[in-house]
Amino acid sequence: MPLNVIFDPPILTLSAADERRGAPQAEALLAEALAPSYTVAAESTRTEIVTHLDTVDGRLHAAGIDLAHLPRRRRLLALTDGQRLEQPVTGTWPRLATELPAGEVTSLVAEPSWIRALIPYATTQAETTTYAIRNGDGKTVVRAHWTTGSLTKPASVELPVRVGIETLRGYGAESERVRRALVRNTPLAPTDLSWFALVRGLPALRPAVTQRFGMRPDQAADFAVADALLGYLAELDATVEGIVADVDSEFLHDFRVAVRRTRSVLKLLGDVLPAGLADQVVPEFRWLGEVTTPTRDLDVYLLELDSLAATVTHPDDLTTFGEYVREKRTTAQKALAKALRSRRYTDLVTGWRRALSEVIAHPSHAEMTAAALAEERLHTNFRKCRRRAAKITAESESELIHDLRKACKEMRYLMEVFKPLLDKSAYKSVLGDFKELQDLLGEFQDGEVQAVALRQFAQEMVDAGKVDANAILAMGELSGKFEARQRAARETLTAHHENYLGAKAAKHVDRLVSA
Amino acid sequence: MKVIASYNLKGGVGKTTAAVNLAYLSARQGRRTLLWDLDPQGAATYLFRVKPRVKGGSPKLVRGSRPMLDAIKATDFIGLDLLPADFTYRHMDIDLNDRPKPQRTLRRLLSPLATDYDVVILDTPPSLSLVSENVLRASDLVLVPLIPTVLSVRTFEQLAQFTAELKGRKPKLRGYFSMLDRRRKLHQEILAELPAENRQVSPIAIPSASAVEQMSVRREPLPAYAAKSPAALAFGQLWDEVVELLKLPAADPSPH
Repeated sequence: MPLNVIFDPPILTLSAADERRGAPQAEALLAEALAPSYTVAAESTRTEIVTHLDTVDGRLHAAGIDLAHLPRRRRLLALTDGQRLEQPVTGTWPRLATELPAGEVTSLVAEPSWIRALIPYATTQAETTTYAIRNGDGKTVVRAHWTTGSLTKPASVELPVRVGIETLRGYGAESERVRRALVRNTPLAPTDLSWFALVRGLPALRPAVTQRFGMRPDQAADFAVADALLGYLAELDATVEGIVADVDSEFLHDFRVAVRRTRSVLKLLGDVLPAGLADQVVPEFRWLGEVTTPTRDLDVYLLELDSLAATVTHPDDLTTFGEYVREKRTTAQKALAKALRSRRYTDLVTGWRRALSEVIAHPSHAEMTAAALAEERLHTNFRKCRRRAAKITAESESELIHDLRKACKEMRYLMEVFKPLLDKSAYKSVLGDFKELQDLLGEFQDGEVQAVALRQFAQEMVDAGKVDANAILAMGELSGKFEARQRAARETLTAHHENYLGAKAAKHVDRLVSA
Repeated sequence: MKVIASYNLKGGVGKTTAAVNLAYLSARQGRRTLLWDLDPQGAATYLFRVKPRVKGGSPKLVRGSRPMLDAIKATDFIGLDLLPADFTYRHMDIDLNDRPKPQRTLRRLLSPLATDYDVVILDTPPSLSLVSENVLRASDLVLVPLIPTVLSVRTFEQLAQFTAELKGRKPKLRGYFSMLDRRRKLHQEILAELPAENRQVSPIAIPSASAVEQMSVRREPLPAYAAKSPAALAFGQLWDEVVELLKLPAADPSPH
């Protein structure tokens, strides 16, 4: 018996007003509306639980896919482009698509879900009674599936009655006749909303968005900065549970981005906040950066392991290395979860939220506007980038290149903070100037860090007696490739940094803040 | 897709009863099942309360100008569809004869249904005609209901010989007892002896019972209203034997 959940249109539904008048008696309503041409008889009733799944950032929805687990049927169901795919599945969520049994649903969701876990975002329950609509010969010519349902998680919400009209093969005309009679003679009305769309639209499922004010040019500078910092804090709140539960590696990535942005804003704009506030939290956010680094570094290795292995002569030789990284990651993740469950973390976010809310409630630097702050700091920072770039020669220490990388990153974060105030096309141009440069600097940095880390891992594995010669040789080969990448990036950078930070880029920056 | 025919040269031996009940059991196990009522009398069509009418009739179906899928009707049972009888089927021999390779036309017509159905059951008219030959050539298994009488047994042997002499692809032939009356000595003797002598005959016997006769009154398959009756249980055994003979893959009985 098909459920309305997975049922193709036509679907009829009751309006909210009719719903409030009380649930109608299904059989009586149908029988009365269809008499005397048809009779109605209840055939069966079943209850279905539907676990609605998507990645936390809604990747499947964006790709036009609705995914659900029907635990009673042990089925995974996907709807896309009017197509319905099913495959057997058991077990619990969250889970990565790579952890699902092979099947056509797995194939469908693997790419769009990327490296993100499939997480239940809602659970619904649907009770469907099927009525046979019979003609004068007593032959069933149409089936009507009357579904009453409710959202059970994350909140309890009754859903409107849905009536699916099932067209039986060879009885298309009768189906249309029945549909028209129901629309004419009952409060039921056609709807295009699928069960999934209906559930997604419920207010109970809308993400709890932190109250943000958005930036305006005439705002007090401290107000604007505190508002931006509250946004990053909301990002920490949204990702911390996913990290502790180790749902997928992107929770940690997003958390670290929010930490980095917070630290940059504290460094570059923290002076507009009440005296001492930034200094007070800087060490705490540095600590957050430090406790999250080991797990993230190991995540990066694990995510890239297959593609790294493909670059060495004997990919299988990296298996021991992979196992070692996984082992280390388990330990690092435990330490990270402990840190994020600690009193220190709770105190940090609670106190930080309170302090920022206080700034919003009583802005104190009314003489400095957000627009003036943006102009001053973007120019200062751009000059810093140019100064640092100018120092770089073919012989200069790696340290100077890292300094440039940091300044460029800070420029990028500043632009993101002030984005609502900036000229849109200039923003795009400057971002373009910086993107290529940052990619290059990132390549330099990654090459160095990875090569150093590989040497360290190799030593640890040797000390622990966990490695054979082949693995060390493969790691050496990999390390050589990283060093080569670093050298190549450096050569390009020395020769071309004027392209990214020259007079043309300076003009873009002027235009950026002039609006 | 496997094709099963319910066939006997003689009439009134339980062909339609078997075709309807086996089709119902197949669908109930989750197999997408089609029953084609090839008998112009339309008894199976009547049992499913469907009008015995196919637009364009036998000529258009046989020519292929009316797609089979367009003529199919859903029954009241999930997973079970019916290609209804039509009075023009009485001239199907003539229509078939006009086609190239007339003995293989039915098989050709059925092949596009393989994506929609797992099992097709043919309820056939009682005769030995071009339609019958088409049925034999189209089927993977021919089920032959046998009333336990000497003449009936002789007819089965004639059919077995005819099937063995078919050139090319041959269906499996399986006889079983129908309308068994255990009070009759002859029925009991044949039931005891024939399956031992002829491996093409199953020891399964469908008893003659009023519950079976009720099918035409209730217009439903027997297991739908008397699942525990001896006749329904016997049809269950017969279907299990079919599943085994054709090695039908296990189906998912959960609703479609």
